[in-house]
Amino acid sequence: MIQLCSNDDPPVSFTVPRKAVELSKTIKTMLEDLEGFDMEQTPIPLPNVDAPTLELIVKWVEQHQDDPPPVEKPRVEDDDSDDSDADDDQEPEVVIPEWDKKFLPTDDEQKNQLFKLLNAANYLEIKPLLDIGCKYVADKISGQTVEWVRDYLNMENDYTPEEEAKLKEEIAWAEGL
Amino acid sequence: MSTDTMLLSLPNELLRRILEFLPYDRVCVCRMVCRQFDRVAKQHLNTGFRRLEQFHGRSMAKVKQHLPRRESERRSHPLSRHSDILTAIETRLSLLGMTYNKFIDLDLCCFIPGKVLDETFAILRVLNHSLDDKTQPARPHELLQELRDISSMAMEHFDEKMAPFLRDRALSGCSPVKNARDSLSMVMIGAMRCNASAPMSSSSLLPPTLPSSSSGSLLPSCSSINPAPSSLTAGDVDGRTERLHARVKISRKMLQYDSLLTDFATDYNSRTGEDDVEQQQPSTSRQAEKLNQPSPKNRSRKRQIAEATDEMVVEKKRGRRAKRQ
Repeated sequence: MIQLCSNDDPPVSFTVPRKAVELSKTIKTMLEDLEGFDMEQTPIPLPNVDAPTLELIVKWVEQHQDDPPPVEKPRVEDDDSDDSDADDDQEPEVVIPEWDKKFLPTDDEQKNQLFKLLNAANYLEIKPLLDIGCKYVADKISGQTVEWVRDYLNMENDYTPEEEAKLKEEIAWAEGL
Repeated sequence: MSTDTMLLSLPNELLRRILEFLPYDRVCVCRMVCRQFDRVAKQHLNTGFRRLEQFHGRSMAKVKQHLPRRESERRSHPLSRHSDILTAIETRLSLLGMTYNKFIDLDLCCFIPGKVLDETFAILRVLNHSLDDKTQPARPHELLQELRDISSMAMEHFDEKMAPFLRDRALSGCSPVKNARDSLSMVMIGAMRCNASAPMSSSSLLPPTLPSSSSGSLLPSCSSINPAPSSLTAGDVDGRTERLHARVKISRKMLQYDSLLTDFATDYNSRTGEDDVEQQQPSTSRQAEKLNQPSPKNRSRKRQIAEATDEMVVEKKRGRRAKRQ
């Protein structure tokens, strides 16, 4: 079992089976690098994750610890700077499983918790969790107005009126399609 | 952690991940949200165009693997329609590249028409599926109609509304030209400048290399190429730059011409019910010759004659060789 500590003061610690915690690439790599040390007695501090978020992460990894590992696609040699692993030959397909649908903090009041979860999943490199979280946000903002998206993502309109008009003109070619 | 509660504090990488689950068309609209979103979306759209070109290349290679080398055999091959469609898409992509790439390289804009990316990806996936299932895709003109329409709309809009403004920005010196590869960017700006004085229009599609007699009944004749500007910016232009600049312009015109021919060939074959549209992009002179012919009937008859002649020549050669031996 491995102990994970949140960034709160005092830190909150969670004990997680090693198999589950290894769903995080960041922690897995660290554990491999520290092979030989008794990691079961050493709590791992996670400076970018608070207790409620870490609790969600722990819940998710425990639920998915027995999932088959995702198939790693061979990297194309000449695939220059593009760091995306999207496979263009197929329609991008991420289906959010039923359990995960209930698990994700999807209420509008909880949206900041969802964003914290995405941040943590990104920091800990838990790709499947990141995928379903991003897919959920993408579905949510799809088909909404620009103002709605701005509000949902806590973003501010930092364009000048002239810039905004120019950008509108730029994308206006598809109007009426 | 207060800032962490905002998605704004998320790394751009995460925003890009979200965008990957959206259609490119939607990504374009999302550029209006804020500057950060715009930066990430622009990068995503540019990458999308690169990926599309790579995907097209892979699809083309896959089809070409199965096609016979000889053109006459290729026409009756079950994959001829796949090849037709891919060739038409290739021309479209080249045209789009000619329109946007020089501005993208100078960081003046991104690949704006996301809808074109969505449509082309969809067509390529349909083609790949039909290749795997060993079924025939829809007729080229049906499958490509939407792509042709929207890509032309996008390019026309860009040439009319965006390009003049971007050119002014590039030439006024407020563009980030410092990042661009020096001589190349100067050539590109030169080409832009030249286009500004002679905007590309559908009425000037024939390449300037064509003899006047070949500007046949199907297309209006070409306006002559404008002389290269005598200077781009003070002290930066020499004869070499001008020659390169002229080359850029000529190749653009050639591609537009090719596109028109491909479209014409596809339309013609769909009307006459033939499936054996010519696979290759023929050389310019052959294309010009084709255009000069008054009727489609004549065209196909001449083609048959030309092929028969080719066969005869080959047979003769074989005969001679046999005699010598």
